[in-house]
Amino acid sequence: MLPLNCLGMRCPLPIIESAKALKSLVTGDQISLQSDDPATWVDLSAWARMSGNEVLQIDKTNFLITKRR
Amino acid sequence: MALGLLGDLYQRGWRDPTKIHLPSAELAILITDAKTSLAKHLKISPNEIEVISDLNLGFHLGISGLLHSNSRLIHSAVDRQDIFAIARAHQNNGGEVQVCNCNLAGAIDYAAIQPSDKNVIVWQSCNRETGVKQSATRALENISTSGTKIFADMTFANFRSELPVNWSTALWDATSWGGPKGIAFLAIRNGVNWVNPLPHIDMERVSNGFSIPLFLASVVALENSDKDFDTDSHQILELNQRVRSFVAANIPDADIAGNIEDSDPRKLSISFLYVQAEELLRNLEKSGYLVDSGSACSAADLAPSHVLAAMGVLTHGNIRLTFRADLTIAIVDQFLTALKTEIERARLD
Repeated sequence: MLPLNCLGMRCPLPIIESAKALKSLVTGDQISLQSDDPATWVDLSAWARMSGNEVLQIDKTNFLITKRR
Repeated sequence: MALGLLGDLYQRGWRDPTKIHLPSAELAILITDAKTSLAKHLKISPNEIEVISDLNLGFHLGISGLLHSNSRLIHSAVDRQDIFAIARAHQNNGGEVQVCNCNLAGAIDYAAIQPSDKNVIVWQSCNRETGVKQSATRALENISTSGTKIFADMTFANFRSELPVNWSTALWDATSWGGPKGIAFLAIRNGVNWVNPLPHIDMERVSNGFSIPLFLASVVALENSDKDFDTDSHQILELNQRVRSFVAANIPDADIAGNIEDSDPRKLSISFLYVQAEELLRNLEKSGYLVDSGSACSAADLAPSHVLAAMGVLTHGNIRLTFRADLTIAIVDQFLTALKTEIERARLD
């Protein structure tokens, strides 16, 4: 699992950084994202729907991204 | 036209229509005629109309006037912030509040509502951010009882939109048909148990401290808008569809809020993945286009649009477009070229 610290970053940077990090991974790999931007969960969910990947909210600032395509 | 008349309306409208002098009597007749015309267009009775100078006040009067301490206030996650504020006040006073969510298309889900005489339902005709319209029949027929009260938010609806059959109070904003800002119309249905929630003078149902010239201009704007409604609506729909088609074909990773079939074509909200809205808006302004946004980075409180968030639509890289009938296809095409260029540039950065 790849850790990704985006604490303190404002939208859309956590999503951009996640998408960038995902490029170097293969299907099934996961990213553990830390982000405290209030829009992260909403945008991460929309990004997952648009890009075909999976996301899970662990708590307020921790998210799990699974590469599906 | 309404704008051109404003000078004349200010000349005639400064008098007090309650006085006995001839110019005052003439003004009183003008106001009565304007209210009659307004009522005809909105398909309500003239004596149900109150003119309000502040839209936010209209929400408060329209909703709070229906509430009792034991009422259950039901509203949706895509309602305006004014309604959330009224709901918080009701809750603070011991009242019950229920919020209905919506799906990705923006359709509000009323399935969880238990029909009850104590329900006061806020029903939104059309969302001013996304243009998504709600169906009154579909939404309200299964959850209404004889005692249910309904506030209809018509503030962004086109003026020909139907009210729910069993509406109690309703609110329109004159800007929605091209009238001036600072005039709203509150309708209180005859026979509905509504009480002014503010201190007031007994003879007045609602304080009449509105600007008479602006009120008259609003009605002129409505009459003008009605004359060209069919042609304008057709033209606006074409422009909206043109933008949707262009974005779908030419700009990848775009999230459009709502379907054209269930939306008022005057508004369109699109979010672009990996784009910062503030930068996009500034660059579009440099190209001559003034565009609004619901993204957090463009808002003073850094909070994303609660409407987009409730729908599950991407909130960053968002633009809100407003279509008017005087826009041409050529102007829209120029804008689309600029939009595509700016998004490509933003994504490169």
